[in-house]
Amino acid sequence: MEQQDFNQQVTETMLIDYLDGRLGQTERLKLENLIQNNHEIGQQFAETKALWQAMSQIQIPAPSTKMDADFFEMLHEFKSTTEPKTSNSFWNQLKNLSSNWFDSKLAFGMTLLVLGCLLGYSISGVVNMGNNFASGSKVERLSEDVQSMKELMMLAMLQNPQATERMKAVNYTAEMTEVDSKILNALFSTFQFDPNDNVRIVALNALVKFADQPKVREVLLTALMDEKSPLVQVALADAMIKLQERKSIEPLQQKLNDKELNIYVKDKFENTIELLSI
Amino acid sequence: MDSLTDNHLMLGVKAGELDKMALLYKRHSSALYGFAYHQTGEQSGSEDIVQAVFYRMLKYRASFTGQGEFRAWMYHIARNCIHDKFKKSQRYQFLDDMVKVSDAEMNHSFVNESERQDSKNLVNFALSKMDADAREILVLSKYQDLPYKEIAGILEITEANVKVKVHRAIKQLKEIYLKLENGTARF
Repeated sequence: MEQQDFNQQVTETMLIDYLDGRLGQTERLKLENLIQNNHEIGQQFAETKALWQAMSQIQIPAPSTKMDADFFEMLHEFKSTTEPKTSNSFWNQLKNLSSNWFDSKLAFGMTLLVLGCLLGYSISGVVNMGNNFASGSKVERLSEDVQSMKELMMLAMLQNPQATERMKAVNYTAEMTEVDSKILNALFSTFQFDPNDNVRIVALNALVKFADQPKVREVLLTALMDEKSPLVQVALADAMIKLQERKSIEPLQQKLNDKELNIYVKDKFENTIELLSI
Repeated sequence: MDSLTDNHLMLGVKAGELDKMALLYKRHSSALYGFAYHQTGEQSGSEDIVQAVFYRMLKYRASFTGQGEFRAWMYHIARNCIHDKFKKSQRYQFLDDMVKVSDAEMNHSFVNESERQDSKNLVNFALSKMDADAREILVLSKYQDLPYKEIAGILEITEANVKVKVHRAIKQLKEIYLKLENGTARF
């Protein structure tokens, strides 16, 4: 009688739970017994199993890299348009107050600056406290995750066909204190091969920030010899001055013999050599 | 580890730490894309839906209370986005695009002998021919691998009701599949 009741309770849901290993031991054994001894349920099980397995084999195309790029762009836009509003009434009160005393734009800007400093100070305090109270690993892990997301965002945005978006992507490195080889290679590649000179110059400036890494200086020095674009050549010369890279004197001198060198670039290179030779 | 749960991250987003949405995106974008794709059959449309879901989560972050599961809230929004897309495109059966054939073709030539032997294609097509609600519950259960309790939270029905609906959905899928397999389907 009990077995008959169980037969009636066998549903498709139970069969797929069995297939997915979600049935308890008692129910599983009862069902296995039924599948073996009851032709109708055995047949039902075979059909469900075939269907369930065929469903598992269905593959869907992976999302494009554009999906990531679009998300990060949306997040970036959202942040830039909504962040000032997040402290709504308090902000507005400050703004209203300031307009009574000073020129509103100037006062509001100064208030923002002061609040920003205070906020930065308190955040660093919170982080320190977190470390002090042995919750360092959580904070660390979270910041690692944020860092990896920023990297992912940057790499995805570098694929964007619009130069302005690629520039934004490169600018994300400004928020990074350390970069791994993946990011550095992406910056190298953008600096060397991006079709837009402005994007290349932004990448060059980003690389200068990581010039403590020997590979960066090596790439920049090589570029001095190979670079054809006058705009990038001038930016490279500026970078050499900024880095006080005396190793650049020799390639710069060699380039002065290049008959195809733009006359303004030639002047720039001469000035650069002069400044670095002091 | 508590600070890394979805709920904590979303509460952080709610409190103004918008960057944390990127972590939630990393965790859930792929599953959401699958959820949308299995119902729309369109790659770019599904990517748009993922985008819309995250945008709405940012926009309506204040409505996240942290009382329930983040995932239930997210899928709730995702369902609305999919529903809006259906409404916008004004064709409820837009999964037809998934197989790129018309119904008339399907009756006669789509399910040819070799394809009939390919159970994967048949099931895919059968899924596209299911009622949207029945398909959705199967997608949540099978492809999103969500427990019945969580599906119940998303659909705002009881867990027992979820089981009944899954049972009916499988039966419906099986019927369509068998008709296709026998070449007797009429849609």
